[in-house]
Amino acid sequence: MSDENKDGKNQREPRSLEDITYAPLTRRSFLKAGLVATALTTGGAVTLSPIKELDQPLSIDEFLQKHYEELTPQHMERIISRIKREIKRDYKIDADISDTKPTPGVEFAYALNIGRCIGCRRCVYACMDENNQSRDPEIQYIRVLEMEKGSMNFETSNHYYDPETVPAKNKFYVPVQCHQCDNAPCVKACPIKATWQEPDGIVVVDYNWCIGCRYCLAACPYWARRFNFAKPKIPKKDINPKMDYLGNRIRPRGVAEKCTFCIQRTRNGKLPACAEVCPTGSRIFGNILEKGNPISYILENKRVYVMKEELQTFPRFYYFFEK
Amino acid sequence: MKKSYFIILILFVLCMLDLQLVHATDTDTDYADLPAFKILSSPKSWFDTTPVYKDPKLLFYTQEFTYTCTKCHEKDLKSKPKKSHLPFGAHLDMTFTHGLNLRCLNCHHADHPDAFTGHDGSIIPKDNPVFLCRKCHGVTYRDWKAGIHGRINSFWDAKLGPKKNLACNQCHNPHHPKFPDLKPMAPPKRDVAQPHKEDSQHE
Repeated sequence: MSDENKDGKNQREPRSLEDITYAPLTRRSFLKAGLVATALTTGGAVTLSPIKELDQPLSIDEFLQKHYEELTPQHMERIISRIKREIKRDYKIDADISDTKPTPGVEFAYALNIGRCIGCRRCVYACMDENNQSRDPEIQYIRVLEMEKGSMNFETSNHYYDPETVPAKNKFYVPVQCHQCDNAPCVKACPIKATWQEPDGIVVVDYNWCIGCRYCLAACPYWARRFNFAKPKIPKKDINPKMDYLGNRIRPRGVAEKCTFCIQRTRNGKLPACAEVCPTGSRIFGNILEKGNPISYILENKRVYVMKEELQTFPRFYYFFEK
Repeated sequence: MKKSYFIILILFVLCMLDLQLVHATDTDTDYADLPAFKILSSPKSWFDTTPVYKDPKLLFYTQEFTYTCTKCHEKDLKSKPKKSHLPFGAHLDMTFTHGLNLRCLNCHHADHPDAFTGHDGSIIPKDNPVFLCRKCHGVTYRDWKAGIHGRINSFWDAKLGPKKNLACNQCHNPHHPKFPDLKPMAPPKRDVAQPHKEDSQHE
């Protein structure tokens, strides 16, 4: 090889652009062109194939929708009526979708009494019922970790425990859900600002803006975010028709979702579903700016614990130990 | 000999049937009269907010009290009650494990059945059991008043709706106050097959 190259026998002569473009059509060049054309068509078809898999084609309205912060009330009205139509079409339910804005002077916080939690998972299922999470594949916002007494090591915890009765001997339970961090890693990870923190402290996701890159799932240190790998499947009788745009409306496929402190309830003064069902009363929720309510009482008088404090996420979710 | 065993068995079955009948008749009448035992229901909710309340022994009575003291004790608790219609005897179907607090009249008022007694013999109305329990459980009462012991239902914002603090005896059985062990709900589904068994030890 090297000898031939040195001799210059087999070396190609430099060709000008004109030579190439105006070269006569030979058998070889014809086949080459054909090959390129086929590759382009198949390649294009493969790239565009996800569009074919869409259940319903993207409407122009949805395609042209602006970012949540730029929406006027008229825009919002139109978007909500469109989403209502979609839910009616897909789930045969007349949904009541609202877009409740945060109340000034309200910042939410949550406290959980680990000393009293018995790990019965009532909160997990109340959350599913309230927030229209997909039942198949199963999506749950709350994970209850079963821990060895005398340790605080989350690596050795077990969230698949299933004994006859809880609490099991020498175990304690730590429910984990979205901590609504003030310095949220998921918000910083989002490349398109589809998730942000509202003035009342709730970190929300605009499901219509989310592109499904799942960076936020990777960024969250509490494993609080879930991804809709499939279109949510919910039995018709289990769908909660009271929905919120940023909260529990039925999610489309391919978007991230998370706990919103039941935004559709809490912004109307109600308690979140998990706090309402807890049989032991371990879950305490309230407005941190208001004096004399349970949550401010805890933060003033009890010793609270913040999960993974060293990450400087400043959660709004506190754990405390009290019998 | 065998015949007598058989007769005893039949009697036992009849007894059980009687129990069920008593239970059936008691539920619809007396239950509604007891405000403290009434179960709170939120206006329309997608989840069950019924407080958990269990008595380990009350198997035939659906683990809830369905009768009141006045059912048998018409005037006061000291005089002899009218004939008991409970097949296994009155009070025998309850569990009494309230620590050292084993005297009935520590809590129940001697002269007024269906009311509780204060330290000085004053009457505590039956729909206010918190005033009774705070006689001994002062620290818990302080926490309950601050809203951090026991469950609060419905509204966090007092301006928009009423906060419902659950009373002591809606979650705790007064005769067996330890919170019951519960069957946990189903664990989350595992999507991926587990390579290791849970018992296997890594070395």
